Amino acid sequence: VQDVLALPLPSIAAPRTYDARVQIASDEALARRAAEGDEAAFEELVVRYQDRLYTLALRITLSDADAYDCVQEALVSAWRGLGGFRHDARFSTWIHRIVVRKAYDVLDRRRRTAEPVDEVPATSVDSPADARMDLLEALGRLELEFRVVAVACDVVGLSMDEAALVLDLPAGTVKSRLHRARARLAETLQPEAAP
Amino acid sequence: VNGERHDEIAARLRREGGATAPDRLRADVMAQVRAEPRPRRLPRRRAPWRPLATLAAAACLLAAAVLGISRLPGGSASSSSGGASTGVAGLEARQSAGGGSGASLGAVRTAAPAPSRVVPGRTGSQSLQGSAAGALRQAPLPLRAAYEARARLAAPLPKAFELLSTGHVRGGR
Repeated sequence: VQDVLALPLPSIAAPRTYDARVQIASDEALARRAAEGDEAAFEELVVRYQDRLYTLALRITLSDADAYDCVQEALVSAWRGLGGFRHDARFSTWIHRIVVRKAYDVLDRRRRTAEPVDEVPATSVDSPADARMDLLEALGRLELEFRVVAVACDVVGLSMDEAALVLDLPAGTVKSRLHRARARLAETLQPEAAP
Repeated sequence: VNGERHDEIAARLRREGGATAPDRLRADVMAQVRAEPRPRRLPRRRAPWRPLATLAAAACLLAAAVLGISRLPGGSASSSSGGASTGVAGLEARQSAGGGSGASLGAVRTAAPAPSRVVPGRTGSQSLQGSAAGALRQAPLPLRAAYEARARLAAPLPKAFELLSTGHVRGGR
C-alpha cells in the first residue's frame, strides 16, 4: 500500500478557462485575438453576429441562398482582412458594412443578369405567420434605399449613427429615409390595421 | 398618431423581421477559415544595428559638411569659422605650390597664405592675381560664389563690429 501511495499521481489537466474568457470578451478584444490568428475568438464572433448579419443580408437580397452566400463570404473576408482592421473602429460597424457591400454586389449582379428572385423571404419564429408575412412582404416591396435603412435600424437594431456608418450615408439622410420607410409601411399596412 | 404608428411599425419590424442563420453557416465559415493559410502576425523587430547605422550615417554627413565648409575659400577675418580661414590659407598655399594637386590636407592647412598675391582695396576674385585667380576660376561655381561672398563680407564686417563696440552706431528708438 505504501508503495502504491508513493506512486506519482497522474497529472490532471487544468480546466480550460479560455472559453469563459471568450464569453465575456468584447467584440474588439475578440477581433484583436482573431487578428493574431485565434480561430476560437473568431468563431465566437461568428456565433455572436451570424443571425444579425444573416437577417441584414436576407432583408436586402430577399433570397435565402444569396443571404447565406453574402454572410459566408463576408465572414471569410473579415477573417482575411482582420489584419487591416483598425481597432479604434467598432467591429460591429465593420462587419455589417462588409455584409451590406456583399448584398449590394448580389443585387448588382442580379440586375445585370436579370436573375429572378425565386425564394420567399425567411421568417422568424415568434409571431403569427400571417401578420409577419404581410409586414415582411411590405418591407420587401419598399424601394431599396428605404428598405435598407429600415432593415438596418428597425430590424437589425443599429442606431442611426451606426447605420449611417454602415450604409455610408449622412446621418440626416438615414433619419429621413427611415421616417419615409416607416410611413410607407404604415400606409401599406393601413387597411389591415383598421378593425 | 403618426409617431405612434411609426413606433408600432418599428417595434413590429424588430420583433418579426429577425431571421435565424442556418445551422450550417457557422460550420461552413469556420471550415473555410481553417483552410485558409494564415501567417501569424508577429510584431516586427527592428534590426539591432539600425540605430547604429543611422548614427553612422548622420556622423558621415556631419563630417562631410564640416570638411566641405572647412575647404571653402574665404578670408581669415571670419568671426565664426576658423576652418574657413584655414581653407583660404590652403587655397592660396596650393596656388603658391603651383596648383598643388598632390598636397596633403595637413600640408595645406599649415601652409601660410601668400599675401603678395592679394591686392588690397579690391574685393572677391578681383583681389587675386595670377595663378590664384586662375585657380579660383577653375573652382566649382558654389565654391567660387562662397569665396566671393566671404571676401565681400570680410572687409565691412570687422568695421561694423568696430563701430558697434565703440558706440558710434546706436540702436534706433
